[in-house]
Amino acid sequence: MEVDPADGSATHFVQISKGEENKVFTTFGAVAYDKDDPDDGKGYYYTSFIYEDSTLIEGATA
Amino acid sequence: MDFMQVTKIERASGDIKWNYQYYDGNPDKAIRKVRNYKVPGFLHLDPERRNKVFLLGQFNQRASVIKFSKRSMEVDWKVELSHPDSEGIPADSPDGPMAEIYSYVQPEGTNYIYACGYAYKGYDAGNEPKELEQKKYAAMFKMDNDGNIKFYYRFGDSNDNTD
Repeated sequence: MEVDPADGSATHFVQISKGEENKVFTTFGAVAYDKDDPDDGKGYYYTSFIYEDSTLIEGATA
Repeated sequence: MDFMQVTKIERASGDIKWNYQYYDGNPDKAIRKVRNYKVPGFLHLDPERRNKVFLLGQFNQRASVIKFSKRSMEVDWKVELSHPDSEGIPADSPDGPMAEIYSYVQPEGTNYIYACGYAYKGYDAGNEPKELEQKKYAAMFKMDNDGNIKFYYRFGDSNDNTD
């Protein structure tokens, strides 16, 4: 979640999930934002977490 | 079995560009049990090489740093802080120079990462991680952008007065 430092309001939100399954994603502090990807110039988040054996994770934004 | 997942997400769309996972595939069950601790603590964009990222934390119950490519997570190198084999520490022991990275910094304009965390020492076979809390030492190291450890220190006598 991106937050406006002036008033704390949420300006952007991204979540990841595995379909409708309600399983635990164990997170720590591993998140980084790269505003200018060297390949396509787009902004990307990088994150790392502990989860079961799965590469079928989905992303969504709001 | 849980895995350490790493994901690249496009900010605007929320689409996942790629997702990779790691786990310890050691066939020895006893070793795998002890080594099945991992903490993806920090992701750090390499300020010198724009197409690289560092992942710092813990893997195989050892402090670890992984340097990888933004494009595909192709790993350049992976460092785990462990004893040399010559010291004869059992493979199922979490003893080592550093077990986890708690914090790090890369001073602006330098090619060095300074990291600190804790180390286990005096592990007895069969101890559970909770008991290991009594055998912790503070530790730190300096590493260059290519994964070379420049110095390492361990501090304190732990809070176990039998050491």
